[in-house]
Amino acid sequence: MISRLPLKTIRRLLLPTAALCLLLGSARAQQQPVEFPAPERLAVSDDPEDLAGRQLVVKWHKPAAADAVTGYRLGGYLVYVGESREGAELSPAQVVPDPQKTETLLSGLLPSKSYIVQVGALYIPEQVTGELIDLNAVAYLRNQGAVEAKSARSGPISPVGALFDPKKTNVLIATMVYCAIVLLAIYFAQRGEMYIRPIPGLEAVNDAIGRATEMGRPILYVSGLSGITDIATIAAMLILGHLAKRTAAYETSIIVPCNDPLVLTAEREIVHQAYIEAGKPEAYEPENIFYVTDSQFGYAAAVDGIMMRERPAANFFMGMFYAESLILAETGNRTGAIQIAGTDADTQLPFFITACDYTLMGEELYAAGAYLSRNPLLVAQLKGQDIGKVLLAAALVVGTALATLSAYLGPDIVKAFLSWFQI
Amino acid sequence: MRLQIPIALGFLAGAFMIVQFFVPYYALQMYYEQLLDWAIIIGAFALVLGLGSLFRSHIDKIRSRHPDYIYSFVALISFAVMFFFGIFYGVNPRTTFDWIFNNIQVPLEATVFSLLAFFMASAAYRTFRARSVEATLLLVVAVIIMLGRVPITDYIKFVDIHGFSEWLMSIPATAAKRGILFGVALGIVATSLRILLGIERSHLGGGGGAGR
Amino acid sequence: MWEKLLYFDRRIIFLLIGAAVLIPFLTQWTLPHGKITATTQSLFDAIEQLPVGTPVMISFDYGPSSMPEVEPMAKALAYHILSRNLRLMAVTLVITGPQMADRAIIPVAKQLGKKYGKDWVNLGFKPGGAVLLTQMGESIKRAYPTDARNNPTIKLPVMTGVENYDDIGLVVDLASSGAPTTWIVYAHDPYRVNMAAGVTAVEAVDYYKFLQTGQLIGLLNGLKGAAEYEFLVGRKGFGKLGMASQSVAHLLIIVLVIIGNIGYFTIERHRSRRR
Repeated sequence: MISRLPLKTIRRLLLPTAALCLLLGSARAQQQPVEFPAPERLAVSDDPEDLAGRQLVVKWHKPAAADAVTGYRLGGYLVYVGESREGAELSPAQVVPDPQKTETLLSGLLPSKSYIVQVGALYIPEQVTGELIDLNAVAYLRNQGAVEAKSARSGPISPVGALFDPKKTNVLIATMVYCAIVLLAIYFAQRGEMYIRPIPGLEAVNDAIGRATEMGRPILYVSGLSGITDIATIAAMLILGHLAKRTAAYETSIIVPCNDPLVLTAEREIVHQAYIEAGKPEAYEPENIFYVTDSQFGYAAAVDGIMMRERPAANFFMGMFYAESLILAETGNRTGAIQIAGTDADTQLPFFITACDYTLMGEELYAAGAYLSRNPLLVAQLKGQDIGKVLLAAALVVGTALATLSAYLGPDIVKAFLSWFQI
Repeated sequence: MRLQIPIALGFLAGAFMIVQFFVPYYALQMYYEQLLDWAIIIGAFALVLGLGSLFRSHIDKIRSRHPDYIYSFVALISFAVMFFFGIFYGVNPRTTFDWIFNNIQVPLEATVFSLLAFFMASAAYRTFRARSVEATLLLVVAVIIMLGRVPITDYIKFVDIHGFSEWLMSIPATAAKRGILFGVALGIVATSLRILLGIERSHLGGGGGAGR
Repeated sequence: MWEKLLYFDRRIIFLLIGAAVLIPFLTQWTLPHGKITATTQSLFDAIEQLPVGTPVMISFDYGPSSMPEVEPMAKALAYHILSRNLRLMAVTLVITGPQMADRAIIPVAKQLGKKYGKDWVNLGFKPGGAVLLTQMGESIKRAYPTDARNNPTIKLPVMTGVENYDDIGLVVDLASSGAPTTWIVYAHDPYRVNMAAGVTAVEAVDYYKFLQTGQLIGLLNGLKGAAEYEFLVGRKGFGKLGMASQSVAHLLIIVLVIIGNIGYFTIERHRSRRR
């Protein structure tokens, strides 16, 4: 039958058939299975550096034959994690884009749960240019023909948390010793009178209030420019409490512009309480304690304006101050008011010392509450502070001497002593 | 009770903060972060109180025709304008809010800050007098530091003013600051302790101390 | 006569200071830069040693008020970082910081033909301060899911491979307040990220102690630090111009203090003679 067909027709039939055979042959050759080796010797352990109990260390070995896979390159690894319970699935948690890296930290876990971990090696076809950057890239690479080979699962394992950070042992001991000293000082304070060094700035408080009363002018109280979380602001609020009691007794107005709404709320309450205690609740003027702005120089401008308009007889600047300190104090100086400042902001101390009549330096700000109240328990705290300071000075002298000695005798001698002070 | 409950709450919150500093376990850290979130939320609500106080004081001034009530108008209108553009047109670059910020807020704040230069000069002139040994020392050091900030003094061959001023800043000044810092740190701990233990109660209307 | 001089109207001092600042500024008079402070040089060297493509973070922790003193530092630093083909990431702990970052970086990036998102990013302001710094120690992209322009950070090429502080070559905190201390306590100490700072001259003395302990590897001290950095990177800026004004003002204050003291002692001598 074939012989009866014309040559042209035979050619037409044979050529496509041969081409089809060739295509089928090559397709069969491509279907031959390519081996994608998986990561080996997967090991998961608790991270000893992580004291919170949120991390596991995952280690594995690079597949031995990874570089021998023809047509593919090893693009990196995918780390899967899942809870060790019935039916729980592992989900990709992290990408390790560097094929040479064989260790990673799994974070965001919980110490109360146990986990199963698995690592997959991702093989990317050589013609695909994309990289395994993050989890978003995985889906794209899979669409481009990337193949993954997963290791055996490892686990169950739980991260272990610690109930104490051993690096903070020195802080804990120092804090406990100092607190014990302060508490003992307070305990023994009940036995008798305690001498307290006169602080001129605080001695002048009564004069300042008296002057304001005589002149019929108000007192201005600024409690710094930091928030309520700053202990300097809290110290300033405690001083305000003592001061307000005295102004209440003399029925002298006290103006308190605030730059933090939380401080405003607390200070209103403090002044109100002070007026109640002084037996003059009707003299309390809530509108005199008001919010201005949290902008540093906006606040400075507003307080300067108040000083120039209201002409307070006494200005108190207590708490944390920044670059606005001299702008406030110098304006107050110009109005002729008695000025008493107190701050632990050491960079601002020179400005206050220059422009104010009295300045409480550093710790004196914290001593002011005790000084003004003359309560023996509070005064005793100052005694505790002094003992703490002596101990600290002794440690400094010993440390300096040892550090100097170590320069001549070698560092090992004092290493242990000095390392105790490191955090 | 009016005193005891706030003191107890203060003690519990303070004790928790101390414990969480030493205990790294995640559960405590989680509660710690939650407490910080609460603080932020309370702060946001307090801002409403602050704004209420701001409005009330300015509206009162306008109502009572206070001598400077015109400035209260300026404050309220400025607030309304910034609020309007910030809420409705956003705060990103090239918005009206951004334009106002850059062309009004920035120069205004910079102007108030620049007053510092004038005040510093007048305060220095008024107070830098060599009345005593200490005052003279302060004066001399101040002059050296100021000269150290002037580049032309680097060309004076026989004395290294720049180096000396750097030395003054990094050795004696830093040593003095550390001394102040130690005192401040001890004061902070002691003050915190007396508030936590309820020894200091003046802020709660407790008479300036625990009393006996 | 001396009495008059000693207690003259302080507005005259204000006028003199105004003239001392304005005249050099208006005449564009500049002074030679002088010696480069060691702390400025060490910051410059640290950036020079970073490999190309390393991310460098600048924290813009200052507001409009201190901008004249700190912004020249920001511009010179941004110029140095971008011209060295390092990646620049701007963050801030203060609400006005994002605007400060844009003001400083955009003109420099334009000058160098650098693209937003590829060469630099402004991550914007997030409240939280210390908490935010701790969060960044775990994951910067989690702390900042979006940048200041609301772009998802995972999609920004500039953020590729940036997970936490381990991937940051250097953090420079430009501030007018105590922000560098917060950075040191919550980022440098726990995560060991390299840190430097640029602060206003009045705050600078606070940070020498951190230089001694190695917690800061460099420090730009006020306008002088900015002028020095501009010289090192070879870019003209406000630092150099401002230094002339500052120098004249300093010299004027010294002259005023001397006059004040001469007046004081002359009056004292007269008084003691009368007695």
